[in-house]
Amino acid sequence: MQPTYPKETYNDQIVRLFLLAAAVWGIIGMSIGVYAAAELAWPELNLGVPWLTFSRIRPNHTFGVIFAFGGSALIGTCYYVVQRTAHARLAFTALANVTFWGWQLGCILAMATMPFGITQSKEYAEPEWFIDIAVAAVWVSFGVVFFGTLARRRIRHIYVANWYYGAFIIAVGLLHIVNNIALPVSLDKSYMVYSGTVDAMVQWWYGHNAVAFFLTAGFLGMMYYFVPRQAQQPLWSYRFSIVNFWALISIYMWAGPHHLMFTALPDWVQSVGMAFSLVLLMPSWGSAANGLLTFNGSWHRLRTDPAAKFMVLSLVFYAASTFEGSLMAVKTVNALSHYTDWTVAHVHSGSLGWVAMITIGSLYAMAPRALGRPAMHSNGAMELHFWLHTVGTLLYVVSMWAAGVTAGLMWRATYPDGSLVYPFIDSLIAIKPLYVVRWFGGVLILTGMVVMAWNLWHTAADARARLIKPIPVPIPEPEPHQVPAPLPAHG
Amino acid sequence: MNPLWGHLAGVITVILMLVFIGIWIWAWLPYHRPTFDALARLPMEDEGEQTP
Repeated sequence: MQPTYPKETYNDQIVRLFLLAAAVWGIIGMSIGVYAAAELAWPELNLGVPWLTFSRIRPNHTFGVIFAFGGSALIGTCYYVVQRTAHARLAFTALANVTFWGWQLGCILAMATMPFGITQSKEYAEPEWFIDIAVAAVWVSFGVVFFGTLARRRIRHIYVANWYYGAFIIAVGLLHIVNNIALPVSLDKSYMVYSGTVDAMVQWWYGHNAVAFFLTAGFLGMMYYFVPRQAQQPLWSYRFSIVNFWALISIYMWAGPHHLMFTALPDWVQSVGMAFSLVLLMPSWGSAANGLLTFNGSWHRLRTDPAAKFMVLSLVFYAASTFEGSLMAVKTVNALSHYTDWTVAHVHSGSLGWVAMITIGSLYAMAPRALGRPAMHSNGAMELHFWLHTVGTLLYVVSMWAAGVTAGLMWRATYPDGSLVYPFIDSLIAIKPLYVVRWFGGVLILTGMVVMAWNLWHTAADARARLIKPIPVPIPEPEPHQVPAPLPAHG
Repeated sequence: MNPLWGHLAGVITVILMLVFIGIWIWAWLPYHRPTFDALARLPMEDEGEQTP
């Protein structure tokens, strides 16, 4: 019997807003990154303007790409995925809109204050106290919308992507609040309640778990939904994904001290960080293997589907950069890599290779459905984006590996009497050509993002003209002994 | 430091290892198989008539 009440539909309006924000912030954040890279190769590019110096715009680049671009993509896909895997409309429409405008406002405030020196000087947690409070309020609202939607779900078991999104929301809220406890002395200045080694420990507990729960758990949520969807294959092993989930979230929390090797941090804490970082390789490779094996039987799609290509390569980069991360947490390797561009190479193989590629693949998979079109406007443009991004990332990562190892070896070279073989300036001169290569890689990646924005703009033509209809939630009549078990429907 | 802390740390480590093995056993229970098989296919249903 057909219901007489209006049919429940998915709220894709909010997904479209976040999609637009992700495309815009991606270009802004990466443009600043390209400029910062150019300043390292050609220092005169700061033009003598204080707020254009590398130290001021570098946090704008990291905040812009991680929180503005990555955050918008994460919240947008999260809203898309939780509705589809719960068979329910997003809860609290008005509050969901608050999360969108609040998140954009928080990002704009942060980006507008940091270049002027209004900063807490904590890496990845630079914005001052009033922005932190606003972000915390938006984050709690995001949690209310997400868990409110799960409470309305019509499928009893919660799909694994939502476990990752849920861990991402809870842990990032916890990290953000604990790491930003400060005493404000004026509107634009506050002092941390922590000091000295404790401050460093809390900062890198936050810093590394921002990598763990923002840049890994959140994007794994994306991966666990969009990879099977794009491969049109069931997830390779659902039960394995559950084991990996619990292993990942319980081990990651302890790996932070590997950022503070050979510092004033107690030695045993450094060893704990190193040991957990090594164990972490197992759940990391577990998820990467689960995603890649899901493509078994679907490899032919890689010939024609650039979104699938982005996803497969992102998983390869995820496996590679997590292996590299475990390796770099070993004290003897860290002694060579720390404070060199090897760290920069590692971060960008994770962020450009894993995070950006799974995001771009997922956006290309999600956008046509959310924008009411059969496919993206241009397949050729997606293909072009794939090659620009891949070549750009490889140029970036390989040049920074070379620069990092070069600098590390030169810094450690000593004569038998212990004096240094090279003055510091020699190591800078040696790696300068590699900085130019890195900048060029960044230009290719930024060009790819502009191509994506152009493609999304044309794909969104019908949505802009308000020609598309909302997609109804599939609400089947319950069957006896249905698998998965349904929950009572909410009218 | 009081040696009791060492015993406490050991006990917690053993409990956490057992919990982990328990999660593994739980996930492999044949009882969950039909649900997990259906869930593994859940993302594939999004391909509506609008997408190729």
